[in-house]
Amino acid sequence: MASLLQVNGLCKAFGDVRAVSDVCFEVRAGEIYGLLGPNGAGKTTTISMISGLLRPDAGKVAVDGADFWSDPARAQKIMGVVSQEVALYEELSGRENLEFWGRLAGLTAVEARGRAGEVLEALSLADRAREAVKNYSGGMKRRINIGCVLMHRPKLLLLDEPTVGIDPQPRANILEFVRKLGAEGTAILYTTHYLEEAETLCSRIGIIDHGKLLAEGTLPELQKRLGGDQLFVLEGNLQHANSDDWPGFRERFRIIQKSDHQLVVSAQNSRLPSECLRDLLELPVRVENATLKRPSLNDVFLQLTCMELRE
Amino acid sequence: MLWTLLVKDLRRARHNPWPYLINLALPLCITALIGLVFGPSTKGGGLGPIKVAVVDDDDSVLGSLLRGAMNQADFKKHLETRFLEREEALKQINDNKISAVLIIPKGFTRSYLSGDGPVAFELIKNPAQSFYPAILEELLQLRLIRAIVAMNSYLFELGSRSNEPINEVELRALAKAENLASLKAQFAGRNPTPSGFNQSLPGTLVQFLMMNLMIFGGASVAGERAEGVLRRLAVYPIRRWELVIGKVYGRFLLGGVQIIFFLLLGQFIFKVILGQNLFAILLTLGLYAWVIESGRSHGLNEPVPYVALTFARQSEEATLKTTRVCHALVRSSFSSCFQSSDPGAGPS
Repeated sequence: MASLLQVNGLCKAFGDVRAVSDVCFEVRAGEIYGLLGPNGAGKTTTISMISGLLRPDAGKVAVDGADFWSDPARAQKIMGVVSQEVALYEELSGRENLEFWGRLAGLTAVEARGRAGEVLEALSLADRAREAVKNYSGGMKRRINIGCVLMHRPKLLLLDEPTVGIDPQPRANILEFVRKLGAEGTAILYTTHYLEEAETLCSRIGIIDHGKLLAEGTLPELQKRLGGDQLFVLEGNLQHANSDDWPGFRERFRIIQKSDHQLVVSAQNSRLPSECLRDLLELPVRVENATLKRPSLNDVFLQLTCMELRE
Repeated sequence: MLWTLLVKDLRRARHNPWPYLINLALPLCITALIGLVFGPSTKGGGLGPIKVAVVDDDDSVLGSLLRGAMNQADFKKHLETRFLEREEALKQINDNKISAVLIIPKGFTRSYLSGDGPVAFELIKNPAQSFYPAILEELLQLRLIRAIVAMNSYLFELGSRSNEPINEVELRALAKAENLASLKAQFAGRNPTPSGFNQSLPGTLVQFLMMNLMIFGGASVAGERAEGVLRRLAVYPIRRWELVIGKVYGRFLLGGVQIIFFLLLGQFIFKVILGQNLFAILLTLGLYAWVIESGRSHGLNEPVPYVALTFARQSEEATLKTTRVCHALVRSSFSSCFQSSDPGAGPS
């Protein structure tokens, strides 16, 4: 598949704060690439640099094979950007908003009118098309907000946390819509801090924190980073437990997370789960419960950042 | 592109017309209120014609000359003259229908011609009225002097023809002859001193035009910034100048509607005198509106791509600077245009 977006060594600093540092990734046609990270990780700054709102201090952004800054208008015609805010004219109707943003993207009046009808149908908003956007629910506004950037059928879609602050049902509708766009061949860069969105929606995921891309790959690839497809969770009083005091533990297990009540570890080499479990139960701590689970994206995140994905 | 931006702004105004309608209605109310307080009349300095009766007991040539002088157009504009019998005139002054009665006493012309002694007109003023009779006295003095100068010139002409004593029959015949030369007098250039609506409407228009463009325009842009619309606009393939012009002239057009609305209303409802330079007035107001609006939108013209973050602060600074100068210019130019503050002469 052709690469529609290539980001190489992207850097941006605001004073002493390095918001983005040496970020590299690419998004291919038909792929939904998830940029996962907590608030303040540098996701929006990255998207701002890709869309031309910010000029990077270093690094390159190539859209459809050409450097963005050599011809920004060409790149902007190819892409559609959905920001976190619902950026609509609330006095205008849904249809008027769609037509306006379509015209700005270069459609003729007739094309915009026709395409607005299609987008409204696709967003299941045809029956409310003539109503002012201010009367829409939060989910409907979000859908129109996305619809506006779809008017000119962009090959590359940048979605910056498009589901922030909305209820589960409209969120599911939006995710389904985005999934459909990906299936139709649109390259999508999707930033989020919701783990389940990244897990269920994205074909590849980049984990970003403090401006750095810590890891990227498909979900199985990321899970593999933990050393296997199983995690062992021990629960009990672990307040005074110190793994350095346990002979041979570091050679056999890798600690993913440790708190006063819980220890999450993965096996360092491919051994049978039953053997690993027996080793863990023999540790000199009082274990109240031991479980085996598949590693989640959250575990990957924990392993990479040593912290829960904060809101 | 510009058309698209313009249509969008007009649609927004159509969907939410209240701020704009208030901006049209409020100055109208203020204008009407000022008119009610200070008097709505805009013509002749706020005074209607003064009603005066003339009683010609002498039935003389001087009476004819005076009648002719009072029927001249510029005099008729200020005076409504009726030639009545003495009884009827006194009755009307008692009924407060007229402001004064001018009486040319019997034998006035004969006494004047013989030079027996001083002669005098009688002016009976209406005590129920205060300033109209006083104004009338001033006006009549002017007219009487003019009539007497005319009579003196006839006397001089008759006296130079022969050594015979001058008689009234010859004088009357000479007065009926057509003058070879006449003086066409008119006031220089300037329209009457504005008062009432003529004073309040132009100033109110300028101030509310500024309010429309700055406050409502500024609020509109601030709203777009707060809602992230400016940020979205910045990632569309629009040239910077298109964005700036697009932001300016939608609101400018609404300002234009406001200007025309006010001038039409001023002309046909409030009877405001627009003077002879309507084009200059429109041009001045148009330029004023454009400069304010482009000054307000100055922040968009920054070369930094991400204009939205700095927009509000820059816009505010630019607007303040531009508006101070602009407002002063327009107010001062209007002082010599159709909002005169000097009742004396002025440019035509």
